[in-house]
Amino acid sequence: MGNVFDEFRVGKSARREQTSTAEMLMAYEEHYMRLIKNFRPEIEFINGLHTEHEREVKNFYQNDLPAIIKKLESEPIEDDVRREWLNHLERHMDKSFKMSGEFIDVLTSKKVEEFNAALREKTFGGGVR
Amino acid sequence: MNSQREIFALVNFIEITRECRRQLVEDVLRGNPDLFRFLFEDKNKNVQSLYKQRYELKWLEAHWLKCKELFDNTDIPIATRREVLKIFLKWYQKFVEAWGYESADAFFFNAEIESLELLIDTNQRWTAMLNQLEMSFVRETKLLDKQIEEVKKL
Repeated sequence: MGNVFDEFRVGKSARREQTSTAEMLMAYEEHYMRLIKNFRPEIEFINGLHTEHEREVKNFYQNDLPAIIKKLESEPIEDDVRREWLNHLERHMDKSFKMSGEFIDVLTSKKVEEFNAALREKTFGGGVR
Repeated sequence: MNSQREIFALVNFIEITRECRRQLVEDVLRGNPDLFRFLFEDKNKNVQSLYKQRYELKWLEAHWLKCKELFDNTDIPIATRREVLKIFLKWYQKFVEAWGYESADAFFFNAEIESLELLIDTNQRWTAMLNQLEMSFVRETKLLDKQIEEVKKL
């Protein structure tokens, strides 16, 4: 009776290959975690920019705009002039918010590219694809 | 292009847009004279419109001026400064395009603001002249009325 596990035994060369793949995967993971650690401050910074931007938009509509309306209503300003300026102000702020949002997205993309490039350097044996 | 300089310019420009938005809000809440000159100018619609345009241009220009201010009182070499400002200009141009301006040449805004100020000045001088003319007319009319009264008494 042979060993029932004989058919499952892996030959030496196959075992060497498996070990090599496992080592490669471990090395990749180690590299990935090291990169995450190195990039962490930048990831947190960009995350902060996104959060701060959202907070600023919300604050403008919830707090600043009502305060501005109240201030303008307390001044001797013609109704049509006040309305016109409020429309104008909102349009300016909207455009500025939109552009800032786009710039933050560009920054995020650049950092992601940088991270991927650093990752690829390890996985493809150096050089950027 | 140097990636670090790109990131530096982008991060700082994002902060500059935030500061300038804050300025818009504070200008109302604290009563910025340039803004309130427009808000209170209700007699002359032409001048009012010019004040408004000038305020808008000065606000857009402020973004660029803040980009340049980053380098004030630093030892950064001129060549580096110029290179980084070119990158800032790229983001500034994208920004002002949202307001329909195709050219973000810093001199363009300067020239536009100067033209508006000249127009406002001219308009105000013209208004002042008209007021003086009106005043002369009123004075002459009163003198005439007085003469008429005196003649009637005779």
